[in-house]
Amino acid sequence: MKRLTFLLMSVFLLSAQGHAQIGDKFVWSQLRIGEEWDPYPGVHSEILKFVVDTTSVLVIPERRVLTISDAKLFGSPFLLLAGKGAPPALDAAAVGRLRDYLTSGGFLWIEDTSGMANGPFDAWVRNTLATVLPDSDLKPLPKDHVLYKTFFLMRRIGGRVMVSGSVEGVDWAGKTVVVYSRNDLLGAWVRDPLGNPVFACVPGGEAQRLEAKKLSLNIVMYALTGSYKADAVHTPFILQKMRSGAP
Amino acid sequence: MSFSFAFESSAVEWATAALFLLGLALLWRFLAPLPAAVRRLRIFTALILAGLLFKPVLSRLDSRSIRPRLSVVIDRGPSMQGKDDFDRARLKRAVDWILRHRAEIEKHAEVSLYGGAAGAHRLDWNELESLQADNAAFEPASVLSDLLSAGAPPERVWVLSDGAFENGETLAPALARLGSPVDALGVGPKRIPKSLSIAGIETPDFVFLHSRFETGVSVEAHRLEGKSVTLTLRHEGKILQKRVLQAKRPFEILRATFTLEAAALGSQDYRIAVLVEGDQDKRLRVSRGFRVEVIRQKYRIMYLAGRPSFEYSHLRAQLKGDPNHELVSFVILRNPEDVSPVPDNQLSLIPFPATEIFVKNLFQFDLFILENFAYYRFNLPAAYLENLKRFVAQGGALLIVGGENAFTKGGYRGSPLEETFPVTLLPDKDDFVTELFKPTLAAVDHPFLAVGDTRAESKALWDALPPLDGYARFSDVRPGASVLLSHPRAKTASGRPLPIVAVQEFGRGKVMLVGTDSTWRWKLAGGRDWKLSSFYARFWSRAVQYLTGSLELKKVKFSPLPERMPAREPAILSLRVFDEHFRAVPGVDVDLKVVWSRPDGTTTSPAHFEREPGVFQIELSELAEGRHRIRAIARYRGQLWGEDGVNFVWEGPRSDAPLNRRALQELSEPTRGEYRDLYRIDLQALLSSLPPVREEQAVRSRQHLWTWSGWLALAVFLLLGEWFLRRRRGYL
Repeated sequence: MKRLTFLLMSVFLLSAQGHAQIGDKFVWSQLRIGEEWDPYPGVHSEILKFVVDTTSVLVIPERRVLTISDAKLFGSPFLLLAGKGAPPALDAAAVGRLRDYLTSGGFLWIEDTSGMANGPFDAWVRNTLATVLPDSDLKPLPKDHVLYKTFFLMRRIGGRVMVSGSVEGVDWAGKTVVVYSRNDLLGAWVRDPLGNPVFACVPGGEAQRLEAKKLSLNIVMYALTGSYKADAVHTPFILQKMRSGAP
Repeated sequence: MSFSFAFESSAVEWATAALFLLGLALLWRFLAPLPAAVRRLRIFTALILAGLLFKPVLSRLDSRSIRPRLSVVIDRGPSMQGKDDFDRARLKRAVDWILRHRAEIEKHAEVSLYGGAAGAHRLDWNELESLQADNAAFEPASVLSDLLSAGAPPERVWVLSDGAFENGETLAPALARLGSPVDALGVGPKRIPKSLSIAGIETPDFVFLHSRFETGVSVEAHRLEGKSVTLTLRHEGKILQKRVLQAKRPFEILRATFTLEAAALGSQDYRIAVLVEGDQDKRLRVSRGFRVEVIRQKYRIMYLAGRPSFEYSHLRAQLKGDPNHELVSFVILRNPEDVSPVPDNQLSLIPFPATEIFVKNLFQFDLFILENFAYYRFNLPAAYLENLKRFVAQGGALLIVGGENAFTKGGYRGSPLEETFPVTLLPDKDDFVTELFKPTLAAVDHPFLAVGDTRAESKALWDALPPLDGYARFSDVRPGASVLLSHPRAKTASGRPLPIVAVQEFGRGKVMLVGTDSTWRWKLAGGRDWKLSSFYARFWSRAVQYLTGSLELKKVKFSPLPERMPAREPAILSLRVFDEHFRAVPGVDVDLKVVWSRPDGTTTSPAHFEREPGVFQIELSELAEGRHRIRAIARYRGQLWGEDGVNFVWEGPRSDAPLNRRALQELSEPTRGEYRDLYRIDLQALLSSLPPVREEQAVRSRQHLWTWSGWLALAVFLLLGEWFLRRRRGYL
């Protein structure tokens, strides 16, 4: 039933492109910088369907594509930036606007889909973030970061590839405002028209794919709940589940 | 006449003399063969020289009587002009009494006379008769300090006064510095009518919720000895506590302490009523009110959200980040129909603690937030909502943040909780419209909406905000509710502007309705317009303050004043300025304006100074009899922060003003002095408390015997005699 609703909403909203209304629903906004901004064009639908099927979150199925100068940037609290090659360097105005966005409540998920350890996109990300938020370092998130328990309890991360054993992030005012994954989480979602995965997840196979999906959902939930699962009221329950051997 | 003899030699001279005599003793065996007459001459000479080293002094003494130093201070305060039942001004009566007993007093003491007001002014006996009252009130601490600086400290002090002064905090140190007993001689009406008055109420201005605080009440009882005096403390019409005290003496200050609990937030008004047993016509019944501001150390907030959303994440972060909030939040992460690819033990979910939230722990919170929570989905009993309604009725705060599930669709229409809403809900479940809109200010002057420093700035800020997204439709606005923000076009079913933010009081609690769940847009707007950078935080901070009652609490507050101020100058008022967290605001940050309206209608701006951080003292001089009004307006952080006003009646020097024995006793008792009414003073008894007159031997003249040059001549003469004898007897 929820899937049907989701499809109907997709049809409805596709006919209403350009409208900014999202109510309290989650909208997948994707940043367009350079030519290679969209390595997996339909992957957001897969992720959003997973979010809808698994959680109580309501979503707008339509993806919102933005540039940094777009007026809707400050109406889009969640933003994805994906890429393989290095996008063009941001000018001072774009850097300032991105900084204003992140420091006023925006959230940015950056996904390196190149599958390379030190690829050009990775170098661009590090240089750009150092310019955008010079007082905050990009660093690996600790194992007990709330990102790993916003919905799924996670002890390992997945992805299409395993370039890094951890997710990195930039904190601002006590909140992680940038999450940076280098394992191509998005690639693990891509399916062909028959519903089969397009890319194999190496080296962990389907288990690694599942971890990639879980982490993707956790990132979305982090954007929607913040540090909610770090509240003391949850701690005994989470510890009990962790002690019971799962996951 | 008598004499005394003493030596003035120093230690060195003593030692020199001793060495000289020791040398003489050691050489004695060489003297022994000499004739006795020669030895004597040599010894005499040596003794004369040694004696000179001791520096002998002869004093001539006279005996004389030393009288104790007595300082007599006559109060020159304005009230001393008042005539009483002796048909003479009090000042005149005090002066006459001193003059009448001058001879007797001077026989027992060395008298220094002073006129006392803001300080002590030395008088001689000739000036006494023309002594006039001053406009300035008698200030005991200043007067006593002046006595010390006037010369040798007095051994006893008499203060003739009617007690129309405030002793204040500086009295105790001044008395300690003085170190002499102070006798207070009361100048006032002889006739003391039966009377009862509340002399003072000591209570903290601010207390924390659920804390206990003490309120002390002082009651002056005149000629009520043997009577029971009942003090009744009331709050909201109910009697909280009673104390029955027994007056045992003709004049007595009865004190009672009430221990109270701050049970509810906000300004709490109390009233003390005092009555006397057997007072049939209630002539002696008095009462006085006082106010205590009850604030929270931390506001405990329960935030229950129907699903994860940007509204939830931003509002939660905002509430969580405020150190004055203690937040417990729950958000429904998964509905029963949702499926998970992994077992439940791999999910961080916890069971929805509905019973704990709605029943067990509900009353521990100050504010309950329901954001887009679909009550019907969880098959929760209606009793839970009934409990939430009771929570509000008993003083809790409720914030409803809308979303499509927040109202009719969420199952609230016809529920017990709907009664608390400022609106009535539509029967149509599809009551939520997704549409961009900019709300309009429906109550510009409401304090909650004053987010800017000025009204114009507030309006500019509201105008600069980005549009919100989605709003709930309602049937109508409830009577008594206030609509603060409304939709620019949409109407309720009844045709009124559709509320976007509305408030109303329900029972003792407050309810706020926010008909949209897109205020996060205001948060992000701070990124594109720096003027809006703190708008979101300020809006929600004010919402919590409004709901918990702290927004209305006075941040600018005068300390309580008696309804009638006694005749003294200056009249001193105390004003406190607090920030939003009720911390004292230093004067450097406050722009304070004080307006004093006199009985004749004229207004002035009296001076003020900061006595301690956040506490300002205002002193009023040249007071006229009648009703005065003082209004203080404080600006802080560039905006109007608050104002307060007090009224009081200044009595002027009334002939029927009572003799304030309490103030005079406070002056005398700590020094082991005595209080006596002037008209019935036993002068001999009073004089007997003075130190006795002492007989002292005074040195009239001193003779320094060692300075007489004849001693040297005598020594030379003796040595010549010794030489002559030795020559004559053939020793040379």
